[in-house]
Amino acid sequence: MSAPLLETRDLVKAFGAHRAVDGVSFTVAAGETLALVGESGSGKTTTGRMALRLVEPTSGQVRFDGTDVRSLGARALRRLRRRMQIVFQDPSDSLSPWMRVGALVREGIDVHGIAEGAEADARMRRLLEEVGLRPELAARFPHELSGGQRQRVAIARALAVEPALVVCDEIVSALDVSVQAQVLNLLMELQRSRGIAYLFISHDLAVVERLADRVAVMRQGRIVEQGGAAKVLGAPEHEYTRTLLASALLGR
Amino acid sequence: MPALLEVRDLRTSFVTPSGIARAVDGASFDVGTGESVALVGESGAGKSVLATSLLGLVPPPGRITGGTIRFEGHDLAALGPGSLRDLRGRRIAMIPQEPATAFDPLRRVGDQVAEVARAHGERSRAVAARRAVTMLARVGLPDPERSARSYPHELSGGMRQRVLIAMALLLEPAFVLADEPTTALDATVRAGILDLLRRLQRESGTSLLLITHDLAVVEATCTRALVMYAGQIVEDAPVVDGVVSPAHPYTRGLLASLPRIGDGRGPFRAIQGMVPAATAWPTGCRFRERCDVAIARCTIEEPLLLARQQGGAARCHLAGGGEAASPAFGASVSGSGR
Repeated sequence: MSAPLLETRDLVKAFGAHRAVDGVSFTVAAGETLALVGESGSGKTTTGRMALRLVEPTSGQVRFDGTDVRSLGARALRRLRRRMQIVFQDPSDSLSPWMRVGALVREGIDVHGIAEGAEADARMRRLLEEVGLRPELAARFPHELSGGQRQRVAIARALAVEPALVVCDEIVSALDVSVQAQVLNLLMELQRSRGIAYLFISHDLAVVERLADRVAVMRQGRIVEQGGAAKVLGAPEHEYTRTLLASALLGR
Repeated sequence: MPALLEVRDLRTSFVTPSGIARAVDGASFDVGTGESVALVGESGAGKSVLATSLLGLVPPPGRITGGTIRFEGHDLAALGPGSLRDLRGRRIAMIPQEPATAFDPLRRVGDQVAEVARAHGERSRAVAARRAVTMLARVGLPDPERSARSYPHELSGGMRQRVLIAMALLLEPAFVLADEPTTALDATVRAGILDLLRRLQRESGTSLLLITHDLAVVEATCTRALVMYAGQIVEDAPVVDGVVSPAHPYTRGLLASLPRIGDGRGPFRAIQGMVPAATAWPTGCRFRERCDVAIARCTIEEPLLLARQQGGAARCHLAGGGEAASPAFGASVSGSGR
């Protein structure tokens, strides 16, 4: 078996005496989806951010494509971010309100010197189409778009640098169910066409079941169970996983 | 006999920079005594504006521009602000969405529950305090005496939501409006809150109108779902054996796009397009542009909400209203303005 794309080992984030993440180890292979599931306060969001070093780990290891992420200097870290992107729950927080959609999507292309001038513009338009947005929307501001459209812009922005891995942090929780389905289908199509790996952070087990290859269940900073999605969700071994499943079913 | 709550052709609009937003645009429905009914819809459908309209709390520049709301036989629009305020809390109560912001952070929760009784005529501080503790016990707070002395931040989100339920039910209202009462909560806590709501609603015979975007919550809690789309009720769907039984293509689409545990791997079934803007509802059927079974008639003729022989009602030319169909919830009253 080839080396994993992303690997964390004994990852810890302590805030004073409280360990928000307490010894988390997992791997994500190229082109696969690992779902990190848990309730609020489980440490799943902090774990996702530590993978990109948006949050500095207290201890433990993060390796991406063989590189020790924690040892990287600022410039090397910036290069790494070309390969590893993140999309957040609320796109309004990550999209500058005074930048037009086109400029928002072009930003990564420009920053990383992927293309220039007319070629960069052409790429930006192709990206908008790829995420299901009409190219005319390039001239709009984020507040002129619907929640679903804004999340598509955030995805196009992440794709602009052609990443190998995207951390998706509750990216559909703020969307209506009909729009949620559109955005999740888009994610799955992009994985097929581009071979992207996802670290998919979610509280919603029913969503996770549709798109994850493997699932890791977090509680109070630790992974209590992980394995193939069908196994963890179909025949869970840990009591907490069973509790989560039962609450998701609401007595059905 | 009239229903406890009768809403007929209700219209609420807002003046916005891009035109008049008809957020609620001809909504009609009933809620009977002791019934547990869901009001379902996506953002932009108008369900929150409908809720504030029922409570007489439409925020300016919004305004009720037509229709009637009758509660226990009274026309709510004809009541002055004082009588309306008295009705709210005593006969009509509301459980808000966000347990974090619904409290005064500097006062003990027991005092805040007791305040409800005092605001509605309980003279004795001691009696009000006792009633508060009794109610906190009923909603399942551990050690209610001690919980009553806690400040809001000392309780978990689930416990705060229980306190809000206690406040709403303290005066034994006939009608409770719960606005997304579990949306801010984790799944393991959500199940407990829904159980509590169901139990209290049955015990006290209160009517419940539960506003939610979550069909799983509807199926676990209610016997009927009013589905709202583009400012109107497009379906009144019965919940049969814990499953919403849809006739309208929008309701079917919503149900299909909701992933369920046990479905296995595979693509999601989405509804194409998005909710239109309230400043420019489409002509004809408002859902036709997103509908996968629309016919020519849907473009030219707006469907009515018609009762179905199988139960429920749907606003769709293809929902099989047939000859036996009659307008649901009485004849439609035209918006006369006020």
